[in-house]
Amino acid sequence: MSSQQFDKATLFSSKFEALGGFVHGAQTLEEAVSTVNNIIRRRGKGKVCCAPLFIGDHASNPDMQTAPGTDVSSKVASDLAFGDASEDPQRLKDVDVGVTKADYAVAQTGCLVEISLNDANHLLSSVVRLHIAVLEASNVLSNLRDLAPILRRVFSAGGEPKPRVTLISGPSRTSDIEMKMVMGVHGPLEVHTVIVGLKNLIRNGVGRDSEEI
Amino acid sequence: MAMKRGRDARKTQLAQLEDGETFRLEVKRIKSQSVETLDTLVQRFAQKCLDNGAKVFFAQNGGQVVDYILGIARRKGVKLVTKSKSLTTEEIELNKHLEEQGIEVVETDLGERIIQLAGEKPFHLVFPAVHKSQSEVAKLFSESLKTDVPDDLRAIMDTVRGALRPVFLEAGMGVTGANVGVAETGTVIIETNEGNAELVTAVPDVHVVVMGMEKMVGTWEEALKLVLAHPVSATGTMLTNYVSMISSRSPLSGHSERELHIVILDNGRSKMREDPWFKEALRCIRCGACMNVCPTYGVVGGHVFGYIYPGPIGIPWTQQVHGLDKAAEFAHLCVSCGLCREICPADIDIPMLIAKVKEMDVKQSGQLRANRVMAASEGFSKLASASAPLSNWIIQSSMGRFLGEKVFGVDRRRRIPSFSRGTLEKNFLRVKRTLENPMGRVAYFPDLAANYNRPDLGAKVVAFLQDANVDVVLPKGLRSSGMPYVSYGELEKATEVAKRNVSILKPYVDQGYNIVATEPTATYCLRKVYPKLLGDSEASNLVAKHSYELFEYYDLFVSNYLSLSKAQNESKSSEFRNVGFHVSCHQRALSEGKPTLKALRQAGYNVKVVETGTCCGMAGTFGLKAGPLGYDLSVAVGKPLIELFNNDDSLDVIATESSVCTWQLAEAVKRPVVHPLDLLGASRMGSE
Repeated sequence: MSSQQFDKATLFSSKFEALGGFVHGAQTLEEAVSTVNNIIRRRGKGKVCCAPLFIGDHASNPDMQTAPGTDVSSKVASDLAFGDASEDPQRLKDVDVGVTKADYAVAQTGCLVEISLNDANHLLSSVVRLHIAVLEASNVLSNLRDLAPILRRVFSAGGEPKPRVTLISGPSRTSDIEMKMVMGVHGPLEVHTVIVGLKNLIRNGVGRDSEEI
Repeated sequence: MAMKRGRDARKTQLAQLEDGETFRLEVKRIKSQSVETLDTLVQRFAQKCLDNGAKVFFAQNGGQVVDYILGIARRKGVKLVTKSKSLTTEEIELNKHLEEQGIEVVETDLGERIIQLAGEKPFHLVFPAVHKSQSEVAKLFSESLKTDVPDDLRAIMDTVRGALRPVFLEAGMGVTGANVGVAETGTVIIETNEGNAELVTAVPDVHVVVMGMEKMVGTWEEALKLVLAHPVSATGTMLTNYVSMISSRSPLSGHSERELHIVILDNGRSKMREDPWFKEALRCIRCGACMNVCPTYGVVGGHVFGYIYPGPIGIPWTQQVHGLDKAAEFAHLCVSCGLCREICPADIDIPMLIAKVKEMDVKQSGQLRANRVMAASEGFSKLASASAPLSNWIIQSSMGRFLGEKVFGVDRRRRIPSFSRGTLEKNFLRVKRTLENPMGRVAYFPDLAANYNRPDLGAKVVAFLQDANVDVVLPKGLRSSGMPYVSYGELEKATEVAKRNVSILKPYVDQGYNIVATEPTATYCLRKVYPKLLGDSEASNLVAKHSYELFEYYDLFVSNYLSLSKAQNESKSSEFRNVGFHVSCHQRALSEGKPTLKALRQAGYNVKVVETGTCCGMAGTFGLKAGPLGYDLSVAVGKPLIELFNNDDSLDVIATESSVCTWQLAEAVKRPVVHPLDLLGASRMGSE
């Protein structure tokens, strides 16, 4: 891990936390998965659903919903299948925790970048109460403008449908009432990022062990 | 003072961005470019959207949008529509028309939902429900949900979240606006903080985007700059919480027929583009900064100061898309302070756009009597000076004030300054010194106050410059600045004044003179207003380039020749230590008072700027007028500033360079209010 990349990751972490998010470090993917499990154990209140993570193996055993506390490493959902329309509201209403992959992050503003090919996966970061994003440290960009060539590529690639890209800057918020800030309006109330490839993120008090929250 | 919080947050955030002012120029450049190449951009965008598998519909007006959406709704059997905040859909009153056809429409942005339940129009571009107190909101939701919602912010949020969740999940159609359209890939960008747009766009089978055609940009680099600019200007945050970038309809397992429709709306925008004056209004990025800083908006709010688009930028936009009558209802609330232009991230000349709308209204419906009188202030000053001191006695007597109100519309409570018979013009030769080898030449533009009300100040200006070995002339035939004509929409008269003043001053500039005015509004007219009125003529631009505020000139040209000290004269200045400085609105567009502060400090004063970030309320002749659009509003606007001054016991004296601000402050502030020059003594430093 170059020190430059370390700096980007640290800057991202401090911005993200200033926005009300939580950041955790993990050296390997396996460690990241156990960190995710810890977060779910401590902060989850209901059903968990996962989007495919970036290692192909894990997509082998699609399972729609798991009870809280279950080891998610072997239970990865590639899709949140709705079945027929009347079942949809119930299914989504019941999911408490969504685990997704963050494709990139931007240090300058402290946002995650999610590239989703399927609205079901996208909903895992927007309809749930607790959102956990797993991010590779090498994918942290310095500035928002660094995203331009990436977005150009993503949206110009041939074929339909095009992916949907979302920038997420912490938990959802509003100041519509008397300009007082409140979190967790419609989107997630709590957002955690687990950065893979960076165990020791502790610099200026940024980052923490998942045990500590 | 919610608006002040908005202003302060924005200032902090701008400071954090690496290149604050360059950033503003970038926004202006991107939006100007986009306006110039609009046709091409729209075509490219539309083609890309089609390539991506989306449907595209060009709508000339709101009716066509409604019909198009109704068509989809009927085809898909849509009964419930969720919406994320879209001013464009409010512009065309989409909700009302859908509801008339039996479709339920639910706004999901909290502020929009609040005003939807209250049956009101948005109060502010960014914070539509900022006028509602927390307890009013709790009551609204209690009534609507038939449950008891406690007057607690967290409880209200949890209730709203729970109540809207099933609505999100059942909707057959989601309608959103778009903040930016990226032509190179046919992508729309939707910015929200609440996450409601995610649920509105991802769940239903049909997603409809309604966007004004002016939202297009060419490239991703430009788009990302705007995405950063919107929140910085609006709320002082870096990015909105969620930025959704959508190019086509994503699949959702188990749902085969999902559709994305992009409706590109004209509704007057292409006409705006053809209009040389109004074209720049298309640069608006809907950040709301102009209304955060507008003094009268801050007092009356967006329901009075607006129709659907509120605030300063709302005036030209309303005239263009909703018609002159609607715009005229609030256009005259603008007092031409110019602050909106200073804060606009796209540098739109909002004050002059508003002046144009006022002009249209005056041509159609005639001028308000009170405004006619104010605009004739120059003639009145001449007369009052010529008949001083009798005129002063009459003006300030209670009978005089009564008549003044009844006949001329000047509020009787307003203390009119006294006029002097010995005007600067009359006495100029007495104060003028012929200099052997002047190091500079200045043509002095006194405007009204330094000539008729305070010729002593005018004389001080001349002496000050002459002490620095600068030759001063007083050009004959100069009119006053003419700003009241602009404020009241008399643009033809204003242009006459501009032409006259520029034609008198240009020959001096040609001979190497600089032009100095001590009245900030006069310099403001020379630099900003006359070029606009005179179509950016060479002459007006030349004059503008050589026009300075007094202390700007001092700082740039003669500060090495003069040493400043506290004035040793009748004004007891030598006893003053702490000065409270008021930056007049027009000064904010020029030097912001910085060289004046420097000069006062050099003379040994402690100076601090006391401000609310907005106008003192006088706004030229506005505060003189009787009636609702005058004295009362002026005092209401200025109240917070007066309080700031009066609550600061450390201040000995208040200084401001604007004559009209002086009158406003002097009425209510407990300390003496003077011009900075009243506090300064100057002497030549060494010899040349």
